[in-house]
Amino acid sequence: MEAYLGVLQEIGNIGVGNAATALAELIGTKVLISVPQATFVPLEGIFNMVGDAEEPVAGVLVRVGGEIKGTVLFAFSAPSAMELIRRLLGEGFSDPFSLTPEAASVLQEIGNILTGAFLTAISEFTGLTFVPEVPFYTYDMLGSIVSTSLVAGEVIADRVLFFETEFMLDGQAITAHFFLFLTPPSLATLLKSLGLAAENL
Amino acid sequence: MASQELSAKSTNEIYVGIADLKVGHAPLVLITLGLGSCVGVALYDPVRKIGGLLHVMLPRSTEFSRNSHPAKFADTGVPLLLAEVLKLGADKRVLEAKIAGGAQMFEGMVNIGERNVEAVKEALAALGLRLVAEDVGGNRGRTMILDTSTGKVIIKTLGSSPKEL
Amino acid sequence: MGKRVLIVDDAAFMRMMIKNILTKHGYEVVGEAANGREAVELYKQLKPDVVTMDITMPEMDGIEGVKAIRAIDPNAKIIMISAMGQQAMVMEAIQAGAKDFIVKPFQQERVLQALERVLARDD
Repeated sequence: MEAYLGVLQEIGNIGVGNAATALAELIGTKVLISVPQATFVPLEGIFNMVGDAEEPVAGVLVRVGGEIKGTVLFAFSAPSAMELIRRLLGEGFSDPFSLTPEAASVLQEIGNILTGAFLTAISEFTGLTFVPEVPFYTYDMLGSIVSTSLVAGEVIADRVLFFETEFMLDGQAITAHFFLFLTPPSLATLLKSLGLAAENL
Repeated sequence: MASQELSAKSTNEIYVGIADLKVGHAPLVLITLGLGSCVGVALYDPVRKIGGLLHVMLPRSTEFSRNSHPAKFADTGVPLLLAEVLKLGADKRVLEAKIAGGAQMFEGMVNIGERNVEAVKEALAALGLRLVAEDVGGNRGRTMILDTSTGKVIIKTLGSSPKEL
Repeated sequence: MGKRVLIVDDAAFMRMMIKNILTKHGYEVVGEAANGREAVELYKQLKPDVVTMDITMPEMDGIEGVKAIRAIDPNAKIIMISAMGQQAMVMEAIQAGAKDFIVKPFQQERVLQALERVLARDD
């Protein structure tokens, strides 16, 4: 099924491009994205893919239902999260532990809007319908957020599709990691929508 | 001497992934990162300095049709961890179990962490293993470190200093 | 006096953003709700001229919220403001009785135009 990674990467690219446009409109600044990576990863190897599992991040998790099942996760470094909140709310916070519910809702809403834009583009391309849920927010170590995201999205097969890119704003003053974890049946659904047969998933 | 010990220590570290387990004897240090709703289980034989560390994701394998991966579930992971440390020569009668994790990271989400902790405790009891310490629940993610030289288990969380379990 | 608006969105930040735009342009924001259920209650109490409605919300989502409000008041004027721009979702909202659909992130002008247009209509 590795042969399909290129296709998945391209679909993901379309989605991420739309999400980047949405983010640029929201913040009013140019947004760059790194080349998206699509990989099949065994569960036990997932921490090797995400970066430093002990890095403190502001994480926004969006479960996706409908015709596919998975989890979208946005991970902002603490300074990036604080800077985003300052720009959108006009109010400064010293660290992510001190956020008011309103400040946290800035990050949740960014997760909501970016996931919406990502899924809209993929929906147009595939004809599938996706139903994103209400975003969850926490500030904690990246690894614990990733493992909990997998469980929350029922992405618990021995191998998962891992899709990753990085958003960069204002010459990297703000960066955000975008992760998508998908279940194997979702993958088959995606490929089928493009007229590709998916064997051995 | 001290620096030699330090460098030796870093090469002795073994990482345990999600749905994974590793066993070994002194001077190995077993580490599992990213325990959110997942639960880490450490088994240790203080006489022979043999230990094992497991990172389970879900309570029961029977709830899933595809369950080829025993370390993913509490009910199959704990027996496998025991079998692996016994294989290394540990004595079941002196084995001590310590567990950590099972947090509810996101407010308002189904509390799978709590069910994981319950299932791990059930599995330990069913095998007659002694649970001597635990750091479970709450809403923070954890790193769990088992030093097989000493049997010490260290828990790291964001925003507080590491503590011994 | 300005037209009376009820804003429905689970994100406090988004309610604030919409409220700022509307009050700056002469509207009166009479209430804010964080989910569909609250929206229905407030609609009954406040009888606003127009409602802005998010879709993805806890307890009761915006589509259900539209249906429930239209069941109470078949003439209710509701504009969706959601991040879910998928065709199927837009169709569903319109069929439920929403008068317009704005995809987040939005331009201020787009929101103002939608309100003007919906309020000018006599149906």
